[in-house]
Amino acid sequence: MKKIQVGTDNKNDCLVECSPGKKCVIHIDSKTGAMFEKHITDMAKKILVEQGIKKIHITIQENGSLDYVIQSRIETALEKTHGINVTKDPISRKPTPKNKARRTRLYVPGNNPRMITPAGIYGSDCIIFDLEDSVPIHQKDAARYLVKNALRDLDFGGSELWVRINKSDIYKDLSQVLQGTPHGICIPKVETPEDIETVEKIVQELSGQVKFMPIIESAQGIINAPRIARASKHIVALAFGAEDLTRDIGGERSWETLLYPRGALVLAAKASGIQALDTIYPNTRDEEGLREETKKIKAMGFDGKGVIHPDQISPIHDCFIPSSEEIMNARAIVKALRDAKKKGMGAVSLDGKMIDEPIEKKAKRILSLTK
Amino acid sequence: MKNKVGRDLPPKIGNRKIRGYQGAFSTKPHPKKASLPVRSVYPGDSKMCASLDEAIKRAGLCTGGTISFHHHLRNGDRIVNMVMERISKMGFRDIHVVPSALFPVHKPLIDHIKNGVITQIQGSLNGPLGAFISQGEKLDEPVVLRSHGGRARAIAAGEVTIDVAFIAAPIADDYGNCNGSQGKSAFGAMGFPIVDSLYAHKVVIITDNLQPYPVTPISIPQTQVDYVVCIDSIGDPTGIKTGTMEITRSPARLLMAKNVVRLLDASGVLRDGFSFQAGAGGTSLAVTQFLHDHMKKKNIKGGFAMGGITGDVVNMLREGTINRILDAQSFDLSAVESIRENPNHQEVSHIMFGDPHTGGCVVNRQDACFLGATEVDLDFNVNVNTHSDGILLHGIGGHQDAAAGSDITVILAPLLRGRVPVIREKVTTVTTPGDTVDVIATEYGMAINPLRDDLLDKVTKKLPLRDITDLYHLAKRLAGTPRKVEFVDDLVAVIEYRDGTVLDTVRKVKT
Repeated sequence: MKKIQVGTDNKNDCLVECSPGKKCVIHIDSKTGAMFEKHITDMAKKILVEQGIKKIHITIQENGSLDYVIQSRIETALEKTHGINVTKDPISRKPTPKNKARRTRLYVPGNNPRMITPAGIYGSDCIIFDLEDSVPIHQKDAARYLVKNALRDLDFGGSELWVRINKSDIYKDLSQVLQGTPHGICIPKVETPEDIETVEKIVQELSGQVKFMPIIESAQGIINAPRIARASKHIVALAFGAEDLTRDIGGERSWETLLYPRGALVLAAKASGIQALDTIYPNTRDEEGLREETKKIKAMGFDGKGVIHPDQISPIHDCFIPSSEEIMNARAIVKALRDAKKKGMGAVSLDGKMIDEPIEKKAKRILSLTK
Repeated sequence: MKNKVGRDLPPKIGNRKIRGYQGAFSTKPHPKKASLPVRSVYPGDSKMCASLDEAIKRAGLCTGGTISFHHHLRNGDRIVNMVMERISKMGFRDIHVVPSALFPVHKPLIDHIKNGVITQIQGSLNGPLGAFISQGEKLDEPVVLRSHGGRARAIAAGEVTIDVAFIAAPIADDYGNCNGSQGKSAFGAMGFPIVDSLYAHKVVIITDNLQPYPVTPISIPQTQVDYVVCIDSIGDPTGIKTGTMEITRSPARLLMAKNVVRLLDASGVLRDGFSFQAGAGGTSLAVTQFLHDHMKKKNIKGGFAMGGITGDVVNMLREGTINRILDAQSFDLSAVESIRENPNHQEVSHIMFGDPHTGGCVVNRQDACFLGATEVDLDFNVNVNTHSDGILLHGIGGHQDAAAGSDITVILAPLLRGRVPVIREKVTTVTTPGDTVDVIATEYGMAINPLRDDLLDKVTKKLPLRDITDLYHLAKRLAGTPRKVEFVDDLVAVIEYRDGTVLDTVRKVKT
């Protein structure tokens, strides 16, 4: 066993250092040590006892980190020193409806406790804990444990909880984060239906029950989008990734460049009865630009947009608020359907227009957004 | 004896008989104020002194005397250290110091306490001096902490008698007329020394910018001044702005600030004539900015802002979002410039700001105020004085005054600082009583004091409102219960309420 370090000395994080020892020694280094030293020591001891480790020196340099962070850092350290994978029974979590509103999905870097802890307070429809692009290679292990324990320990309010995994580390990622029972898994860089099947198989092997959101971010992915959308019954939305796509096709990011891929993605999603979710808006300080783009993608048929800063949430929600005309119309449709049902009529029309299934669905979606 | 916030108090502290806090407006004042000193300065008399030593001598300072300072230069002040060094060199001992506040820059006072030059302090302690006093060496008497309004009241009531007031002024003439907003060391409003100069037996103006008689505008008039000293520098005005005065960039705290503006909007106070006081903490600054945006968008013409004035409030005045600024203490150089140039930016003393025993203070007319906290408890009591480890680190400021006067008092506090819960069952120290606090705003939701059911009725369901006990349990679930701090019996400080009763005491931390 060699000396290793996990975590950071950033605010709300902790740095755990393990080295070989003749007995078990736990040292806490904390500004608030007088208040929490015993609590943290007990927690660390419990983990070591459960894993049967009797000889180790652990130093926990704590900078305002919560229990789930300290626990995660210790678990990561034990994987590195002893090759132990700390596993727990998955927690239970109530599933969300397939067509739940997903106007906003907030990306949160998976190894940043400072951003993870308050992620639920901003009211985004979804939170995506990211193990992929926002986590540097050498922190991938740590992020896995952190996201798992955050999902197990914290209450994120009404947001639907997702994890974006790494295409290169599917098993390792899933085996940890499924213990936190996220509502869904975002699968990045999906190019073929087989990419989904691979993930689905591993989820089944681990007895997980999750929704899928494939992220389409390559030319190949756009071309195969209709087949990808049908690759699993657990897929609830296709998400669009503009940055990688632009790079893949060798173009420049502009509304015109992305118009066809966006259109193709919306068609593929809607043909399979699932949602289409647009890419992020990269400039977090340009609220006007964000609103403009959101209005345009909404008009194209998208159901939501990615978010990289909490400030982007309420402008997007604003754009998705149905107009009063839309709401009145939707209410009239729902009422006509209800009246027709009472009377036992099959075909229903309003102001001379037939109300078919897509119209009914759209009306219900509009009303769900006003709640 | 237990007071109304449930704190056990001894009947006497030192020579002082204690009256416990009875409720924000329950204690009747003594009917007469202290009498004012009589001066006689005749034609040809000079007030100019060649040195600080000469001024100290002519002012008749004795061992055992009481002196006062103001903190308008905050961490940029040079006067306190300079005067104390002279007093010590001149051989005086047992000096009682009544500063409006002391800052980290005043750390050298620790030595004066150790060698017996300073034996009593009545005033706010920020930083190392507070830590020193709560851990170790004791002064003859516990430090007395008062709010800005409470300090003005105590001086006016004669509960504190100042023998010599040393007043730094960035401009003065040889007869002592001075103001705070002109000269290289300009710091803006002179809210504190206006009070001291009224009641102190001797008043020494210390300036680094002597100008021909008469200097105007006049904040402190010649009639209240005995001596004038001119030195190289009274301090560095860039030290006014300390680290806490940056707007927060944390999305969670910005959300908190936005929700406070939504709450004010729902409560109905955000209408023409709206008046408020905002602190200089990062989240308070954010509230001010969001308020400004909201009022501009809705075309609301505010009445006045009281402060503690920052550049953000100055912007509101400039852009016509508010009508007037009343300023007892300028918090940055933009406020200093504004008070000098803009006739609608009016200087007021701390008597006018917050002395409860006058013909009415400004806080009584405030619709809202936004204040910080280190701890808040289930009874809405607020602590800003001690950290959760029991160490005395901050003064009261205008906290009690603003809370008592304002219609809606909002406390801005994160649910956790690091892993230390801000919402407690009982605060470590009561700075501001819960019956004057209306809303606790955290990033996880806002709690409204059940005493304010009128406010609860007004705000809509769409606001993230939570019960204070919910917030308490949430914090506890996230961070666990911190071990209680252990104290020994020695009192190190007394927390006075603005009316002169005692809210709480601070004891020495067990080491």
